[in-house]
Formats: sequence, C-alpha cells, structure tokens
Amino acid sequence: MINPVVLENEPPVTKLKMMIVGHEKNGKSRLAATAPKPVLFHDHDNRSEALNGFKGVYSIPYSEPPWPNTPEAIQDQLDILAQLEQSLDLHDLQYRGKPVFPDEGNNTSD
Amino acid sequence: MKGTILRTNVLDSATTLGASAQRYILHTSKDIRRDITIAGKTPKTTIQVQLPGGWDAWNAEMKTVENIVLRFLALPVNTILIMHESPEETPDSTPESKRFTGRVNVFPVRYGSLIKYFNEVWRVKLTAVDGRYLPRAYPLPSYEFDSATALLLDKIEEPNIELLIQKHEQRLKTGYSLESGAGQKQLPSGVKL
Repeated sequence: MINPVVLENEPPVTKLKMMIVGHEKNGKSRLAATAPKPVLFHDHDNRSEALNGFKGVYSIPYSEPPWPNTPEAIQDQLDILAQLEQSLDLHDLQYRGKPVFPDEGNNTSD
Repeated sequence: MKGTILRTNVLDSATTLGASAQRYILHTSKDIRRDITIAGKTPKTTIQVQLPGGWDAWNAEMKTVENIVLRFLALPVNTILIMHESPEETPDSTPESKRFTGRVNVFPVRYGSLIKYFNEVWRVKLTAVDGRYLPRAYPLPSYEFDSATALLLDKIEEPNIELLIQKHEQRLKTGYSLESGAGQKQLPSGVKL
C-alpha cells in the first residue's frame, strides 16, 4: 500500500513520530501528556495515576491475570490496536463486549 | 454523532510492553523457554519461573514489539513511544567493577533499533532551574545522548509538546534558521512563545 503526499502542500507538523527517553521519575509521561489532545496512554507500566487531572488524557492500563493463567496484556494491547486501526473514536473502543470509555461520545461533536 | 477522536497514542513504556510480549511468548511456546520450579510448602506457594531458552525468545519479543510499534506509526495520528535509559558502559566494564562512558543509551539496548522509525527523539532530564530540579526536554543531540528533532527548537526546552510545536511553526514563519549560527535571525521581541 502506498500513500503519496505532496510535501510542499503539507503543514509544518502533520504527525508526530516521537520517542521520549529518560530515567525513571524524570517526567517522560508528563511530557507525553502535553501532546495534542485527546491523548490515549497504553499504560503497561501501570503508573498513569501520576497523570490524574490532566485534561484530554485517557489511559488503558494493561495487567496480567494471576498465575497460572495465560498472560494476556499483550493480547489485550493487540486487540485495542486492531480496533484503533478500524476507528480512532474512543467511543468505539470495546473490551470483552463493553465500552472501554462508556462516558465518551456524548460531549463532543465534529 | 462523533465521539472523541484520538489524536495521540502513547506507548508507556517500550520496556514493559516488551516484558508483556515475552511473558506471553514464553507461556505459549514451550520450545523456546526453560522452566524453573522453586518448591514451596504447598502447591500454592510454589513458584514457577519461565526463562528465555535462547535467542529465539529474545528475537520473538523484539519482533512483536517492532510489529506493534510499526502498526501504531501507520495510524494517521501522533505516536509517542516512551523508553527508559541506562548509562553506557565501557567495553572493559564488569558487573563487579562498572565503568561508564558518560553517555546514556536506551534501555534495553536492543531497542535502539527502533530509533530509526522516529523523527523526534527527545531526552527528558531533571535539570537545575532556580535551585530546583525540574523536568526539561532535550531535543538536540549532546555528548550524553543522540537526541534528534525535525523541529526548530533549542537545546533545552520547557516540557510541553503542544507549545513547542507552536514555537516551531512561529520560527518557520519568521525565517528562523538553526544553521545560520551566531548571525541567526531572532524572533521579534514582542513574540511570546
């Protein structure tokens, strides 16, 4: 699949592809939370409560079931990713048949 | 009616994403793991550990993470991958007597192969500002780390991506050039960034 673009006609910043590198507790997640909103954190560190109160920031924490169940965090991540490939609307995201963010979709319009 | 349309995905972090991938791979692929059982007093207190049995386990993890990152990058929205860092060791460094180069690497080091997919590679570091240590973004390369940016930014910046994008756009409009050195055009004094 190709997607040709005339770069001359594009605005200066169309899509960020950003890697943030840093030591623990140095503000990596807080910096990421300042990206264009809405921001969705795929939280494998399970520490996104540090961003409580940030407007326009959503989080999906991924965790494992207790031993000896099959680890499922990576499968859940792939499931959410596959849904995002179909729709970028947070209202459409589902987990095990239920909306991930049930309150979304009623407060904004295009 | 549309809901909330996502503009930025953040993968936090690559290290723990990779650990999740490896746990799943080891659990489901007997051929590439070693099982170690640490006996407890009862079956419930027995610990079973699954360790990588060879390069295949590490390669499978790396390929899974790379696949996920590339699929995120293909989405028509911003993607941010958060990486941990570790001090770079000299070739003669040993576990008993560690020696460092003064530079930092992404951690785990093998994830350095992901850097090529990103236009912006920023380091975040606590920095002394008026007697306090505050997070600051380092979008330009230094002796410590090979940061990279396609934006017109300074060496040390306030940690706010949206404001830094505005700063870049403002500098584009005013003809600011990083290459022009000491004689570079300055922003008009009235412009607040």
